[in-house]
Amino acid sequence: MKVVVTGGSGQLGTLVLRRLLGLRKIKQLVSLDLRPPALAGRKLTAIHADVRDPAIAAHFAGADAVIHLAFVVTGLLPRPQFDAINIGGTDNVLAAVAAHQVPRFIYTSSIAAYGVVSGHPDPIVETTPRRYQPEFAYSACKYTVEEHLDAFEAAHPEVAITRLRPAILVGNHMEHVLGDMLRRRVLVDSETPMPLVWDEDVADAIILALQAAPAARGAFNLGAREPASSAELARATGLRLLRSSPLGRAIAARALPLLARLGVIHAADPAWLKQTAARMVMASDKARAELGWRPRGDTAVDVLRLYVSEVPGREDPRITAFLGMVKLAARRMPAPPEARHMNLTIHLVLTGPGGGERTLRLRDGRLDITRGAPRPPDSTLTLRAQTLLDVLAGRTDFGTLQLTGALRVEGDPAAQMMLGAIVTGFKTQARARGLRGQITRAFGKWLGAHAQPERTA
Amino acid sequence: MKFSIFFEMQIADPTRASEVQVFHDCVEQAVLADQLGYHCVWEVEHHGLYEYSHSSAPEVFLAFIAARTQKIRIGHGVTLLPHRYNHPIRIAERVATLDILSGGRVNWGSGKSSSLTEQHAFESDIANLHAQWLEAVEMIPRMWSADVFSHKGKFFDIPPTQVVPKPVQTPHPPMFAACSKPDSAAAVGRLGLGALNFAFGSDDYLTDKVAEYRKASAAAHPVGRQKTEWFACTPATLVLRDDKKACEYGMRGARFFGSSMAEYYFSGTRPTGKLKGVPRDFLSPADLTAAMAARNAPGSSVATIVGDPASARETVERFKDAGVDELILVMQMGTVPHELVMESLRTFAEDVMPHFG
Repeated sequence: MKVVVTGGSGQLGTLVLRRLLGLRKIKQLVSLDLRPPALAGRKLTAIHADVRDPAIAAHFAGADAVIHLAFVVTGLLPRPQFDAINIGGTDNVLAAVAAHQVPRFIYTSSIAAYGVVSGHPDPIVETTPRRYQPEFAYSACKYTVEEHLDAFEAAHPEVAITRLRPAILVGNHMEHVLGDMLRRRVLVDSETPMPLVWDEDVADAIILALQAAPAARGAFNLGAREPASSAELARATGLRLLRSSPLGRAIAARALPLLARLGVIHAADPAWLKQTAARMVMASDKARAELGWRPRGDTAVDVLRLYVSEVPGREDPRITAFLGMVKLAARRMPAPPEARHMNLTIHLVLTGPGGGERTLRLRDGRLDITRGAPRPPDSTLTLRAQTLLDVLAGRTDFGTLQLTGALRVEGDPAAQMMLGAIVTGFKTQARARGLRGQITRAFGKWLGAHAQPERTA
Repeated sequence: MKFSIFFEMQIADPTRASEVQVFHDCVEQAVLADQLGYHCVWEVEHHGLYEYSHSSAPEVFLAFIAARTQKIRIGHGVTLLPHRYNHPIRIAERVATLDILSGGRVNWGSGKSSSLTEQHAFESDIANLHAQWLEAVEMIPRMWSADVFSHKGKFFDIPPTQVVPKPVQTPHPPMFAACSKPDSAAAVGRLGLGALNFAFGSDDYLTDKVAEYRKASAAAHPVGRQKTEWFACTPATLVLRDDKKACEYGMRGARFFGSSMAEYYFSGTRPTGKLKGVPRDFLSPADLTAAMAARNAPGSSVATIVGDPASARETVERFKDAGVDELILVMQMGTVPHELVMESLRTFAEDVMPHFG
């Protein structure tokens, strides 16, 4: 099976690619994006491509499904460019789907396709009329694309189209203001309940749609149940509530583009901040019934609880110290003969409270560790920050992590050996006689101390 | 697809008595494997890897097995070629003798050793292990085919010598090599050698590795008189009809196997005595449940074949899809009782092998 993904390098795209890489019946995976992917896999071909470029059609030949995620969500692009990417890009992708007779097309629309305006029924279901909202570019684009899909669907009944309409995606790597706030464990106060969904759940829905037999045609809302106000969510999850007034929001809307240009926050579309008054409660019963969707973020509170438990806030100083120590040790030690010719770029992802991300770069056997994520990596290693501390403290062992799946590997499996060698090397040092052993043991004891409860308020 | 068995001769916390027992157990396992129709008995050569591998004289063990069995092939997986371990002439002589006595059943694999323990013990020059291996692996097949052998190379200057006896297989036993590093399968293919691989990584990674190996093998300049295009993996294995029991013992064994290997290969030291930091107890109930669920899950590594026959068939299918020719099952892992290895050999032969005939 061959699957083509547009926008595979983004927040949702990365989660979708990870799932597709793990599915054995998919033998060929093509990702079209302007950015390099965050994951590697032998069956993944990453193409540097613009969705507006008609030449992308060549990559659709022989595809069994196209998952269209490429979309500009926020940003400060001029409207014609914003429209050209979102609407024109989708038209171009659809033309390629038709040209190569791809039987399945999965598109992530949005709750915004209904129009972020007041007066919607409670709840919004898939048949609720969509309302055009010209002044809010994102919503207008989502609306127009769905119109184009209606026309395409009529002209090409042989293509099964699934339209997923997720609420606001909450998860790691959110590239917008809500993400910037949540990373600081803050929620902005607002009376209207925020329609939310856990991003991993949306990725799951995409895979369910891909595997549905017969094909899942039509629209599916994807949102957590029991939407709640910011104040309620903050109370239930321990996030800090940032009070704001309409005047404050108006000032923020003007200040945000400047802050974004200064690099303080992600590029922010001020239009987004004006949308908080519209009450939008969405029912996702259809996805549950027809796709078998079982979101982990079942309710809005669950979504934010997942955020707090899965997405790293501030890095645990013990993790920082350990990786710093490994970096220093690697600089001093000669490359082991077995690794002398190894070249490998590893993305180490430590999830959960206290976690963080590192690039482990092995060049001719020399290891260097830097902050942040490499794109593209040769492999990605994912484990919880607490799990790494547990291994170092001897509460669990590396072999168990590999058997239980507590350590996930994408791409070149040699990365496992690399991490295994780091852990084994550390534990061997800690058993050594003399001063060096004593220091390592003391350090290990500190690493092994039980985690402090995450400071959230 | 062919199914074989692999002996490291592992012993968790050995005593003199248990060490003796393991050798006799392995003979019994090999004899049973022959009766059950397994393809080959492969045995490693390691020196001083206490607990991890007590198999230091495979030529003796394999000769004993050859005498006790009828059809099963007799595999060196592998002989260490750096000449401090074995002089190439001695290898040619011993393998030819084994080939004669076994009635032409020998598979010969070679490698260069990768643990400091054995490299230091034999005072090998670590900097040129690969060069030593390469020179010897080219010399040995010539010793088998040339009436009068002579050689002038980097490490050896051998005057005209009649290396006897000659093997019975023509032109000589099939040749294999260990691929300890992830990228070495293609290098082995280029030399026209069969590839013996550790099993790890995702399905698409393994598929790609097999494909790269075959591409290299297709364009090979064989070091022997004949090319062997063959890709084998060595998964940790325990298959019993009781899924939970298989996992209790099999996961513990696989963990012992991996952890004791790490102590010798990744610690940067030469451990002595009972290996520290190697867990020997059963997995906790929570870990066992997680490990059972992780088998064959999306994104899982295709590495261990542990569980009931249904689970085993699913994993074997994954190896088959990747294009693997032979699975060399590592059932004899430290902590796994002999009786369970015997039961596993039978169960696998009865309920898994026939599906991949």
